[in-house]
Amino acid sequence: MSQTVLRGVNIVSGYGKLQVINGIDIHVNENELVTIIGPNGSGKSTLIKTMIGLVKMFSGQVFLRDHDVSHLQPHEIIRTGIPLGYVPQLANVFPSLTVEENMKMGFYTKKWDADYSKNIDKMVALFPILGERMDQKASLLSGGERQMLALARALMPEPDMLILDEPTAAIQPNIAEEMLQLIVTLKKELGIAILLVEQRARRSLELSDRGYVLVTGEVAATGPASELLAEDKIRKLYLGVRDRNENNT
Amino acid sequence: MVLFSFDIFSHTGLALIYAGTLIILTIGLNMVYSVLKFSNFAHAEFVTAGMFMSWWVLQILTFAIPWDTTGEHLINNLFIQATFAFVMVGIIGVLGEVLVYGRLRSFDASSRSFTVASIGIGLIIRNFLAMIFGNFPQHGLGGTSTPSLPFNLNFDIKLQFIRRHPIFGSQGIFITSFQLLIIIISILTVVVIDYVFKKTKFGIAMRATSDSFELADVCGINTKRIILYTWFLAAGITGMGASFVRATQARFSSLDGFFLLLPIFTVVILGGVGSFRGGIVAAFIIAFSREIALIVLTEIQKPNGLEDTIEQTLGFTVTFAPAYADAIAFVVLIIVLLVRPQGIYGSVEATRARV
Repeated sequence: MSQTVLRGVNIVSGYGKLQVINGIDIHVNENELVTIIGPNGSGKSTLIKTMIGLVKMFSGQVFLRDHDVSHLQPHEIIRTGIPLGYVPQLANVFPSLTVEENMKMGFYTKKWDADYSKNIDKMVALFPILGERMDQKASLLSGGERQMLALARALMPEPDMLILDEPTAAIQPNIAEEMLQLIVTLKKELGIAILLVEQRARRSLELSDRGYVLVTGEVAATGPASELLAEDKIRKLYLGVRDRNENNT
Repeated sequence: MVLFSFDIFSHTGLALIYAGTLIILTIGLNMVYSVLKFSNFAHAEFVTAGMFMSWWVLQILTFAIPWDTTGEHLINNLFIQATFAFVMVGIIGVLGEVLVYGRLRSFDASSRSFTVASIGIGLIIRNFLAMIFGNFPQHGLGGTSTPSLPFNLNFDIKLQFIRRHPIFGSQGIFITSFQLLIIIISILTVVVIDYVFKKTKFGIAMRATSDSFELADVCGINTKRIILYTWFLAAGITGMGASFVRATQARFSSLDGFFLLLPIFTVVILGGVGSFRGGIVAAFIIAFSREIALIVLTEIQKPNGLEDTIEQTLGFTVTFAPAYADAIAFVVLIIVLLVRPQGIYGSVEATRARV
């Protein structure tokens, strides 16, 4: 039985007095790719923002390995010592910083020494296009390159856990597919636990190990991705009946 | 042959001093502008507060260390006053963040709210200072005192080589040691702050915070602390600069900072928000254009000048007082906003962020 990296217990959260998440249990094991799908406004992004500390949690608990990180600020969670990467959906790079400085920010909590330059080399090997543009400002990058940079920044501290909020949103379909393949490769080769929120529900479920279907802030269905894909009700409601070349759900 | 009826070198010296003053007082505003993305009108009162604080420490030390009979080394030392002003004004800046701006930020107020709040904070600080220290301290009534410099730095620079040369005028450059200090320290401070902003971890964290609070937070940056440091540094440098500026003035009042606010803003916008080196260039442009306007207005006012001509030919009087030269900052500000709103070295982001 593999160990749980991230676990949320009975999470209730929202904005101000508006409750968005109504008690959700979720966990991600080591070396596992977990996808959260659901219609717009179901609370997918809010759920992961709550777990990382960006949205105030009304009640419930969040554990990062053995650490109780409930009600901590994001920077306090990052400083627990368990490397964690988070890529938000919008504004996922620092536009006025150069590409290299963006990567440095991923390494902020550690000393900028040999490890740092080693990891930079790794990232450049992974994303050669970023290596050519190290001194350019991130605001000059295209949508796809920004996503790559955001992912590179999140991978800089060699994370145990990676949380990705719609990494394929607003980029070209072929690059989006590359991105998903890359995420699967990361899981397989580096053994990173990955929590993915995705609009391309069917494609991402095909690649994942497990899935959660969120509806109005509650888990409507959960289980191995293959089972979710096979279930008729979910296929009709959330995956849509479309041909194989779907771009979006 | 008298080519110029005015003294070029004397005016150059005055422009240099004005530029130095602007440079050192601009750094703090530029920092707040680029990191927190709003126009801090209370910056004027950081200047005023710096002047009062540097004068206040003199009063405190006079009682605290009476054995320093000459007062040259500790009681009335410019650098001690500057340090004290740095710390005290820095604390005022931090207080503003803790009491007002931080609360505004917690419910996502727009940058307009921040700007309006800063006007209010400015009024509070200015009137509070006037209440405690008196509104218009006059010379000889404790309003000012010339601080002393350690290490026997008290010298006046007066370039003699062009003296009594009919072409260039007769006075030469005259800069006191305090004014020389302002110019040197302002440029040094810009170089240091520019390095900190561009190269150090703290500087990159500040810029990251200015781009996105949330993203900086999930990178492990304690954004609240970074903002507090930014306020402390910005207000502190302004207070330190103000204490140097005070040393060059015969008297100072609670309105001094307010009168400097407009040229300071012009320098930030002309140089480009977030560009400290651009601020140096902009400060020289503003200072020299003000000096040129001063010369032109003086020429117009001379006997048989334009003012006399208008009076004789048109029959009514139009006054061109040299004091109008201060309005040159307005003119430059309007031209810059119309022609090149991002400033000399500004980036597109800075323009978009402007209110």
